[in-house]
Amino acid sequence: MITARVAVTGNEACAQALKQINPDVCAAYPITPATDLMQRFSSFVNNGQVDTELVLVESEHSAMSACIGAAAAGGRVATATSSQGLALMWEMLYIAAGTRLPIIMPLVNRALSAPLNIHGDHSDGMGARDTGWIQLYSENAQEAYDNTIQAFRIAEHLDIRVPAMVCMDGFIVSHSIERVEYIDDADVKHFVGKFEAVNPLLDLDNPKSYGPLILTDLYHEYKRAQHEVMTKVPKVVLEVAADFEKMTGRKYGLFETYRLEDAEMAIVVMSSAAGTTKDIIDQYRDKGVKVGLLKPRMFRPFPYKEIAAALEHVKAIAVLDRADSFGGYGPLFSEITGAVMSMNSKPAMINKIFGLGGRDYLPVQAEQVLDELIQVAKTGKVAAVKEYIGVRE
Amino acid sequence: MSKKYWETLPQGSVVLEAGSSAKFKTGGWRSMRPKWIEENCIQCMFCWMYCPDMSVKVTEEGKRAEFDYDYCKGRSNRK
Repeated sequence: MITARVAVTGNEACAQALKQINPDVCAAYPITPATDLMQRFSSFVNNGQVDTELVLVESEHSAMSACIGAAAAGGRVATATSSQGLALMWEMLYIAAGTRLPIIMPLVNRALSAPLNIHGDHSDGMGARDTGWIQLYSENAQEAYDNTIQAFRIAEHLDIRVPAMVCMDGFIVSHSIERVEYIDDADVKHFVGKFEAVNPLLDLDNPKSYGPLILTDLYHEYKRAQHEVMTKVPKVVLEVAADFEKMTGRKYGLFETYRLEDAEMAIVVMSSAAGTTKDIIDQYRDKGVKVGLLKPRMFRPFPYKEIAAALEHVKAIAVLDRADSFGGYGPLFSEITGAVMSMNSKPAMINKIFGLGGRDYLPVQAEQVLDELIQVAKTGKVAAVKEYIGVRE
Repeated sequence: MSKKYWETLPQGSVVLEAGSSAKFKTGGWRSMRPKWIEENCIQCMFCWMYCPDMSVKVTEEGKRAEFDYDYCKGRSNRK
């Protein structure tokens, strides 16, 4: 396999993945910090490097609507958005998933207004948690690129056929230049494979209707079937990851663990903050503190059993959420408590809300969390379940 | 192993049979029943234009015919 080692941003890497995949249709509307991604892709369209039909629409609601139409017509479809753009897509997200259309959407995670803020947190993605989309979260530009390529194979798999979001942290990953390994065009094409349309509207010899009214007699059954599809996703994600590893040597799973095997304590955190946390874990390991990390990659569907097995042996867990649920625990914390429910052991758990609206997640904050976690593991006592870190007081 | 009922539903609720909406007789939704009084009718065809369900039938000669009560929901009930 030929690879190119390049210095690019997360947005640039995702645009490159889309270029190599060459979707039939992209419909997009600009929004910071995802603007740059589709802007780069639109230049590929303009320069004839892809033959994608780029539909310039008047809003994100229209962007997702056009994507749904194009996907129902029988096309391979992608778009990208962020924050308010995703929020404006809200009703269409459910329609894309309920209609089982495998649309791929890089989501550059950004805070939601008010107050207005353009920087990175997971409020947007967590708000779309229940839409029926697959969600993969990326730590860095390489993962964003790799996840975008894998997302097409996962979403388009004939056992699944649901849309997928590939998430990366706004600005921290989308606009930072990192070293990324690009896969050769031909290898990406071969890996992703030819798109197979299922029940395309443009198959005029077999007319059909999309989007029927289904009331009390069948709606419940359709939703039951939709849940069942999501239970098939983990197997496909792992199969695709295994193929991807054969091609690139880069290993992916449902989540990543770091020095967790013999750990007594664990930090659970997603996306770019995992990188900072790993460095601090190394420092504490050098001091003899047995701590490890679990970084969920696939947030929807959520791998409860697998995560429970990976955390079974720890005494205390700190879950770091880069999103909030006002009046509730952080969304990741809620899922981890759901996983812990099936364990025989019951580790003590704390929830820290960090980095909202792009607030820096500093090494010193990871150290504070770890110092507290050591006490929690020792005493088994939790003073406050949910707290904010890095807040100016 | 036999499939559960919900496992047999078409993917994404796509309706694969063309024109099958004719099987869905929506006249049962009607709460007010329109009545066509032939001797009062001036053949303006406003009712035909107004009805979104094509429940106002027209003869081959282009004249107003009886309502199709299988689909008429009584929404454009006029005196």
